[in-house]
Amino acid sequence: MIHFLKLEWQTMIEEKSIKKAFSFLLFYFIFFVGFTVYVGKNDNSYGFFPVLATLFFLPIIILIFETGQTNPLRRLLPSLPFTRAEIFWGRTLSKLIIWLSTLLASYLLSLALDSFLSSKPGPTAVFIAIGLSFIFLSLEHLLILLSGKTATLVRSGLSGGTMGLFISSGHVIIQTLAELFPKGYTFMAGSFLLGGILILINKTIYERRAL
Amino acid sequence: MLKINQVEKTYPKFHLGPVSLTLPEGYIMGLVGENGAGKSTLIYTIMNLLHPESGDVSIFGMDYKTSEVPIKEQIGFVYEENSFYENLKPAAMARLLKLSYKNWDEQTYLRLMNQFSIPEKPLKKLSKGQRGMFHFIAALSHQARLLILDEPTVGLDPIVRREILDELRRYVEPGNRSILFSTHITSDLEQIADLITFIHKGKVLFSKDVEDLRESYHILKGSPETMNHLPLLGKQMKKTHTQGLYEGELGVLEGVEVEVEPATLEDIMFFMKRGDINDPFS
Repeated sequence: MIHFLKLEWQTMIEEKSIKKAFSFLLFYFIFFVGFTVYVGKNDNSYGFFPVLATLFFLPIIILIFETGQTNPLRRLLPSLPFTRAEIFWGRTLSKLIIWLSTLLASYLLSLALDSFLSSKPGPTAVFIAIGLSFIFLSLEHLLILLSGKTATLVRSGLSGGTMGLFISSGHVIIQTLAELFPKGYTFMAGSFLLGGILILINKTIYERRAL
Repeated sequence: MLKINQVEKTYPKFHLGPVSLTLPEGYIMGLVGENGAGKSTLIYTIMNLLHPESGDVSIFGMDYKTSEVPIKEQIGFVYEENSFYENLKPAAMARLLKLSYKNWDEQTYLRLMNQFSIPEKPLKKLSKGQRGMFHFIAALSHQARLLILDEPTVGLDPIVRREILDELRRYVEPGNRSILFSTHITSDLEQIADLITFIHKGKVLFSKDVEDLRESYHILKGSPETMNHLPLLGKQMKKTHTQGLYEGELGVLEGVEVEVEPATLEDIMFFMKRGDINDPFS
């Protein structure tokens, strides 16, 4: 597994994907903060962090694992000296690390902008952000089953759709979720359960299917 | 080196098998057949990208269930299409392969890159032939004992093709390495293959030594009346005569008015396929 993770890390370095992802994120961040300022809402403690976490996460995953026409999980990686389980869990772990990093970055940015936007999240917002972005992680992870071209199209749609939806109505979505799950952790636990099941189904299909 | 035993795989419109094959150490086996015959399906099964419904594949005396990593460590692969990261340049891709294989041989890699003059451009900007060459070089650069090549010479000019064939010959010289080579270009196989396996509609029609093939199959030419009485595997009417593929001892034909010529691999494939639609014994 460590051997595979080293290969994943080296691939990101060779593809210069982290650098690309950061420049893309800067654009998303400026756009989102600009929109929040434009809307002029006084209290952003519910919506800002969860929306930012979700918006941060998807583009970064898309850029880091975007490989164009070829899907390395279908031809290249399974032909190299790794088992399918190593490849699946290695890729899952890479995404989990990136997910946790984006969560942390989003949280720190929300704290940093608090005096300006009142964006410091409460525990409910934190739990909802973790749960929501984890569901997105497990949904995006299903794309490893598709061909390179199809996955690229779906990822672009998912990214664009999420950006549009969350920038325009993200605060309302999070507010609604916070009303439905006032303490937030029940939503997070449910998301972990659902996301975990999706990842296990994904693993079973990936290990058994024809690549 | 490679043993395939009664392997079967079914798709909604295609069935492969049962296929049984043996590729001994030190041999080059050519896998031939028309498009959709099942060559790539068989190669993907050998690479464990497809799981057969029945039968088993044993490589170096091991199977994928227990020894997937040691098996793949010793296999060099070239697929028909690009399987590498298309945005990377060859040197960057090689660094990833070096990280993946324990026995990466930098000297061989650099020698071949130099020999075949692969430019340092993103793989997607290389010509199809250059990309194919790069895959081929990568496959040869980690001291693999078995090379599995799916149409490796497609899109290459004749000079480079000949250089590749020379490399392949050199590769098997030590005697403990083998090559499974699928191609449409039968003349390439006639130059280097020791064994030929012919797949047609998912079934292995034969898997034979090239010398046996040369001795077993001949093209016969004669008048339609004479040819109609011969047990041919397929025949073709020409303006001046009829010709067909004959399998068996030539001594039996003594006294029969026919012209005998050696059969090329292409002749054998052509007439065997025709034999499916024409009654060869009529």
